[in-house]
Amino acid sequence: MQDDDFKRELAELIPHLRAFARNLCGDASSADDLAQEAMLKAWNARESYQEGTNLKAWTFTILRNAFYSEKRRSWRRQPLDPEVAEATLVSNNDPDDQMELLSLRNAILRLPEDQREALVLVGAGGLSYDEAADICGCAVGTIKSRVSRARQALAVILATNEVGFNSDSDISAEEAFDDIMAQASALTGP
Amino acid sequence: MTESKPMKNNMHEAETEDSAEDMRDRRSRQKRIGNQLRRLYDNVATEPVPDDFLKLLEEADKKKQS
Repeated sequence: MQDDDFKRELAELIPHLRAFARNLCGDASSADDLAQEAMLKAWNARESYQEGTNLKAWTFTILRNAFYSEKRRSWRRQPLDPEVAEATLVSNNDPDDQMELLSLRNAILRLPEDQREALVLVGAGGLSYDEAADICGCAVGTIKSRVSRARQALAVILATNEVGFNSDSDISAEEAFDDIMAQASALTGP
Repeated sequence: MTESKPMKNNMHEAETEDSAEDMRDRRSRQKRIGNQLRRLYDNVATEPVPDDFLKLLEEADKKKQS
């Protein structure tokens, strides 16, 4: 493939690299670091890419390897700062809906990594089981069972969170949302 | 003693109804989670790409040419 064509196709995949990274890492700035690293690694390895094969799956494999590399191990094990995660959420007019997305995001980050990546690839990124299996270097059946376990675990985490939220706290979802937005603007403010 | 039989049957029926309802609940919950998962991903995928990315890619390309 010509370098210019490769560059153009790689540039078109940047939004997907960012989205995959954000769902793996949680906070936006680590995720963008990871996505940039993956993009540059893909560029440098362009000669080993076989034209006609799935470039998205190929770049996702690179991103995943970078995520698990020795260098990342120290930071990715650090507990996630919830305020940072909240600040990465896009604005949304419906506070209840926003709270649900926030709970889901936090629940995803509590899944075991193998389940999380399978769920993000198939359930969120829309990749096929075959593609996800290639990316993760495991059998299709393994991916299917990880996705299925991840879905069940998410439902349990979310159900537990809902109970906790309603019983432990008197504030409404709307007040909680306003709190989050206040924290977010404090973090991103001048 | 004989009265306990129909009661057991009733309990069994109630359980079956419950689990059918549970299954519907579970399915609609899973569908909801599925939709939200895609939105979490799409929310990021549809954000404008920060300038750094394209700048880095151009720099890497130029480095190769020089």
